[in-house]
Amino acid sequence: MPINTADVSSVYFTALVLIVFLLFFSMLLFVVFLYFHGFVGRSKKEEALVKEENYNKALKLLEAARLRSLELLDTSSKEAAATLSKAQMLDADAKQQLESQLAALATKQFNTLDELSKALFSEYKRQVEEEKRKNIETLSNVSHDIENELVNEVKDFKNLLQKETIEKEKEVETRINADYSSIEKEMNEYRQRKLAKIDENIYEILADLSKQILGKALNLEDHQNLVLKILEDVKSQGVAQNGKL
Amino acid sequence: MESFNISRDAELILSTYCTSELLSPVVSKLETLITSYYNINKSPLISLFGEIFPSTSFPQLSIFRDNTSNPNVENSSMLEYAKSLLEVLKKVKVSHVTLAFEPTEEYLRVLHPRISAIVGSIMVLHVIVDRKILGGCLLSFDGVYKDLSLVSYINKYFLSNKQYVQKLL
Repeated sequence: MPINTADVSSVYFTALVLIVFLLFFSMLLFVVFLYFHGFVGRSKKEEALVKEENYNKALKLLEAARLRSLELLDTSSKEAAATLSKAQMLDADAKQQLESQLAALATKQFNTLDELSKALFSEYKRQVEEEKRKNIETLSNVSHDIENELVNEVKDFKNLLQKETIEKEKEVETRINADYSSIEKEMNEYRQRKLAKIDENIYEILADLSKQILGKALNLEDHQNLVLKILEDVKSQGVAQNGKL
Repeated sequence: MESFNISRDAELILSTYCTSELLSPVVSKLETLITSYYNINKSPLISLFGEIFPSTSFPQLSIFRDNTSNPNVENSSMLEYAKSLLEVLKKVKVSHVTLAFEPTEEYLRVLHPRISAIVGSIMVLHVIVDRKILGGCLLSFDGVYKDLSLVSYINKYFLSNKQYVQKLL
């Protein structure tokens, strides 16, 4: 049960009022006493009687007042005690209630904090996931960009390589053609030199062959006779059949 | 006209003008002679003909031989004879002969009947000089070719005596 602080304040206020009332009542009795004491002085007997009577009355009153005050005090004390007890009970209940409420509040706070924590964790997790997704997407894009860049660079390199290769091939081809032309020229020159040398020697060789075949070298008359002889041989050997070539 | 032997006379002319180079001006002169008969003068053709074929050089021509008693042959007969002779000379076939040396006319006149006997027809020579054949001759007549050169003999010799030739080289 929760502690009601208004009730506690009311109890303390009531006890304070009673104490003030008792003090006021005591002062009033003292004033009355002083009054009757002065009145007795005017008439001793009467006064004494009156005084006595008053005194008795006063005593009675005092006694009544005392009793009443005691009664009131007792009542007040009891009430105060009850109030205090009640207040203590209330304090215990309040404490218990407070503890309970605190516990509840703590539980509630714990739950709230737990929910907040969970929400925060969930949000954090979501944001982390989002960041992770964005990072993956970014990395993927970056990967694609890098891939495209690499592909383009590879293409450029390939084109450059092809271009350089073709240029090198052309250069090599040109060089080979030049070398080939040079070699061919040298070969032709060598061939011409050899042929010239053979031409120089061929007449000697042919002369030797003529000597081998004909038994002597040919002069103009020999040429003429050779032709005639060959024609005679052709005719006589019947190479020209039926007199025709 | 019937007494003239055109083929025989053509052979006699070709034996002298035995090459196409020698015969070509003769043919031109004959054509001129025939043309002049119609266009210029109608003097006896025999005299003009004698300028082309001197009777001293060609005494055996039938036109001279058969008319020695009558040098003034009738122009009509002379014209027909010239036309017939021109026709034969223009139709005569050419035999291409390649030699390794420059032949003299005398040698060609010796060579002509030999080759004519081989080809079996009247013909005129067309001589080509090619020293690469070394010797002998190449004959080409009427689409037939015959290699009688020394080179071909040497080639045959090379083939049959290869080792010996290689030693010489």
